[in-house]
Amino acid sequence: MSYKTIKKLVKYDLYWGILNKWKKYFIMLILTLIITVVFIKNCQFYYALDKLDSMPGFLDYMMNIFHGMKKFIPDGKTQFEIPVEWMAFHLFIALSIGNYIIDDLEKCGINIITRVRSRNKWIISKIIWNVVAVLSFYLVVYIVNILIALSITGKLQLSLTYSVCNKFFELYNVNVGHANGLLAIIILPILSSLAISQMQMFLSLIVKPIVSFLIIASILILSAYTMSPYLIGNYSMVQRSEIFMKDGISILAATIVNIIIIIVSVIGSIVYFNRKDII
Amino acid sequence: MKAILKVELIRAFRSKLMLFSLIVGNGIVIMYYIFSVTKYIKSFYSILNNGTTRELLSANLCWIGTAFDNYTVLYFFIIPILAAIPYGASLYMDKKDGYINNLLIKTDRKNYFFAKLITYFISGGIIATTPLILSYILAIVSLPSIRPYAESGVYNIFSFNIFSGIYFSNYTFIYIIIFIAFDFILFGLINCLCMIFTYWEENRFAIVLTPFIICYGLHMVGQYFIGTDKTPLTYARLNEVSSDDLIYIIGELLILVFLAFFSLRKGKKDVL
Repeated sequence: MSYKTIKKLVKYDLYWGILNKWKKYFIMLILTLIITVVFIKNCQFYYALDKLDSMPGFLDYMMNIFHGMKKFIPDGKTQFEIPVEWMAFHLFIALSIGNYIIDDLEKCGINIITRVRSRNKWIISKIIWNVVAVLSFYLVVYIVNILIALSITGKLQLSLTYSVCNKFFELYNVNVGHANGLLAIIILPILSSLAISQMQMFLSLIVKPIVSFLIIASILILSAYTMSPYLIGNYSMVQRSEIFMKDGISILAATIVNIIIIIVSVIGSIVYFNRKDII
Repeated sequence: MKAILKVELIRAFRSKLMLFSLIVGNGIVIMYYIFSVTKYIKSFYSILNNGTTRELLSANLCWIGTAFDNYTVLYFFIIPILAAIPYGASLYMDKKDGYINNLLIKTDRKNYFFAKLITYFISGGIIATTPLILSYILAIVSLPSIRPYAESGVYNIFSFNIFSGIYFSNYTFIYIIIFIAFDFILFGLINCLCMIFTYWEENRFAIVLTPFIICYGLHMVGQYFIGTDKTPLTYARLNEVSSDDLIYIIGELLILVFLAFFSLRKGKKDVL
């Protein structure tokens, strides 16, 4: 397999799939900015009322986006509230991954495949694009939150604030080791997003991109409602991880399942695309 | 006008994607019936045998509209997508493949766009409400359709919710009809958003998802500012609407009506 050709294809995908779609990253930047600013404003409000010991730091901002929601128990009295920040972030990634691969295949994909004489190279390039696109979204979120944290607090606080977690996320067990907390807040959402996106891309090869988006949206909303290891959205909700919740989702299990989903989706995409009738 | 409307309705309803949307919507309702309603019936009979209840399980409680379940949450979350899948990108496709050019030679531009708008409205409304009707039929054929009593406390409707007086009366079916008619109008109008965004968006995928993106965006804004109960994803379940929210809902529906007619105006000015 010529790596030079793959390199060229990846370069093409990174240009047309990421750089040329800079507006999507700009929207993500605005979305992150709004979510974090609203969170800080709320914190300031409670801080002024002496209901918070201290103002939030960088990790609290990240927690605000990725915390998801605690286990929902339908008792008939509690109303189900969609975890909007978490859902918005994941839906936006799903929306952006959306139909790029099928759109590209319909536009000039067939010509490119004929030119490089390999379907494998084309699909591998798309898989790499998918990973880079997801990581770029996270990069935007991190950069925005780092800049906000530096401009407001003047430092990059890598620990959670007890009173903030207590008030906003109903977490009472935040005295955890830094390594575990960081793993749950920083690594797991990224790994889950990679798994969800690879799965979405695999599904969009089999069914229409809109149907694959529908499946991902359904998985996400069911994950919010039901805490189950079978619904992969649960793995990206920090609040449901074993660190913050008794009988929560095990970090090790979440990592293994996410890696398995990524491997199955990647292999599935390559095998299915080789057999797909694209003409 | 009549002829072009007929053609458009046939195009919308005789498509595989319409079948797909109806199968998914009704499939959720059937799964809800199999996995949830039967569970309610079993638990009800176990309570009845103990003699600890005085309230009969009613069909008016167990249909997907007023019940609260993971299937209910899923259904009302994905309706905007389901409703837009079959016909949402129709105008975009007509423009893309040149069908519109051929058609406008033979028919009036105004009639064509008006027929399109009506088809958007009807297809969205039908997809959103067919599963609700199926759910109610399944509930009334398997459970007694008794009059609900507010005193029992088992119903998800309270005195501050709109039309609660009708629900807790001998005419509960009128409440169900209002519920379904409201969802028909709401999702019909929301589906019309696809038409207006066709003029601004060049991506089929994005056009079909426009209603969902707007509904979710409003929900997010609602969470921060006015409250989620004033956004379509919540008030599509009429039993969650309180009398105080009515003014917001009427306002939002009027905006949707305005946007639907604005899309007609845009259509008239469209240079083909």
